[in-house]
Amino acid sequence: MSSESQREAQPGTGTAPWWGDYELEPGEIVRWDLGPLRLWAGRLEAEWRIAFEPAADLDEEPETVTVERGAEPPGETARRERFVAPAGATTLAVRPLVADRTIVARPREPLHVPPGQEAVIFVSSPVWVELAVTGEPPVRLRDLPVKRLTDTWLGASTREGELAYALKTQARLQLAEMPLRPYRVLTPVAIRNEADALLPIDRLNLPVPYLSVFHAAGGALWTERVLMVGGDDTGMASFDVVPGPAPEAAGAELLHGPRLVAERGRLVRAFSSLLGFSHGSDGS
Amino acid sequence: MNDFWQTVAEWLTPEKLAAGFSALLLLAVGALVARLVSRALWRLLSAQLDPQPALLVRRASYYALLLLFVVAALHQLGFNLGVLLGAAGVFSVALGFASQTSASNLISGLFLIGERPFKLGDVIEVSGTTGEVLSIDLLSIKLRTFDNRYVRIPNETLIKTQFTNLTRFPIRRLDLTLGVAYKEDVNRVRAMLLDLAHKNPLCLEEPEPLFVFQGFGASSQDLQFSVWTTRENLLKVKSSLQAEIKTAFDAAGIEIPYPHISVYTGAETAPFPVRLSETSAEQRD
Repeated sequence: MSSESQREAQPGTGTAPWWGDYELEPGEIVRWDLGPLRLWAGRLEAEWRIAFEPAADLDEEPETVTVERGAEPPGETARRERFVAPAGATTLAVRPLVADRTIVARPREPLHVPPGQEAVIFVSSPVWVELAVTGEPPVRLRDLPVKRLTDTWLGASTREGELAYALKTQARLQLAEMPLRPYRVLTPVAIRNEADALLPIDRLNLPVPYLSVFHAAGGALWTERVLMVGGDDTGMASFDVVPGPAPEAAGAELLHGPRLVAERGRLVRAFSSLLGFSHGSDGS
Repeated sequence: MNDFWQTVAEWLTPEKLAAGFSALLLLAVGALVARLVSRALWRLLSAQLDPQPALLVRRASYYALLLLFVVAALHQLGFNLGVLLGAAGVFSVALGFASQTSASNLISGLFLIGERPFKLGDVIEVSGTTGEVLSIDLLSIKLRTFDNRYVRIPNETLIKTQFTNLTRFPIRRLDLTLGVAYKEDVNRVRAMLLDLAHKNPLCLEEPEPLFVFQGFGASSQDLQFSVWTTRENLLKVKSSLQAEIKTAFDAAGIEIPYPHISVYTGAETAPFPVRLSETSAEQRD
């Protein structure tokens, strides 16, 4: 890590990354402002301290990313946690990783893919921050989301299914329109419509726990490319994760592997119904 | 007295002693075999069955095997089992009459175990008592209520009455009823409520929150607002969302009215004149 006391990455400028290994002196505090999250980590002689709080007004999501070494301690409102330091651990490893549940991304406006066409939709989702102290073996302190997404239910009925995160997405089709926000990770979703009718995309179920995080030049974070095929009229879709960083981020370096590794067939089955289903909301 | 000792001496022939010894041996071996077999069966089945039926199979197999060995031991001792079985028949009729309730509970218990409307650890509500199921036994089930009391409910009650399993499904709907004053714009209230549910991360986005205009109440427009959440978060959401609604309504000046009555003196008369007086507390006294 560079020795400068403060680094700033304005959106679009693509400067130094916020992740990496931070070697801390006892008593030193590092503060990260990662868009909607404020995070502090400090090392004492026998313990590590972590504190975090959401940036003040979440209606307008702050987009700045700054890292400040030798920061002031957090205020009273921050949530704090303490960890007993493993012997000889002086370095904090900070890495971005994917969310711990599937993300259900709903386009703000309905998007339709004509028959025979393929579209690549860019979905940007908040990363989680993993904090670990290096040592033999390294000790993972905790991970936390940059932004707590709203819960949602992913399943054919209210009787069975799984808990997921809900995300509103612009479902942009042009990469150039995507703002660079280094605390969010971009997933290109290629959707091919092999049916004879328009394929409406109400929601995209992104199995992010199975994706990795890559770091492209310029500071953007990417996952693998996800390929979905809208089949016949039943709306069933096949699903595939193309290994390696997304083609839009050629040459990107792996920062963090996936949370979950599934057998291929199982993953396809689990996400066989990926595009558009509706919950009937019971009357009173 | 002498006769008695004589009878004993006659009975204690080497053959009888040998029979007694082999009967005892049969009992001992039976107990051991029953124990081993039932445990093996339980191990085999517990991988596939729920703990409760597996335990039932273990007990049933243990007693059945033990009974076989007891019968064999009695046979060894020279008892006529036909007579014994006849006596057992008469005895069981008498016992049946005497233990109607227990028998009914026992049979209900078997039905409950077969039907499986709940399993160990589920939270159920039976006639006003809510608690976590600790055990499902042949005669009764045992609940632990949330204020840590131990409640025994006879199986017959469960078969006869309605009960609710609160943890059968992973998500629950929380229904809030609230009233707003007649002067308020219902569409604005609806938008505010939906926004609050959207901002509360524990309220599920899907299934969507439900807003129902229930009717024109005596003092308020009665509304129902229902949100979905996971069953673990139900209480948290109930508490946080209602507090958020109150805060948001206060901030937006939306009135949640108390019951009130307007008094008219009839269409022909003018309204009651109301005059505010400046009387101080001392003068009133």
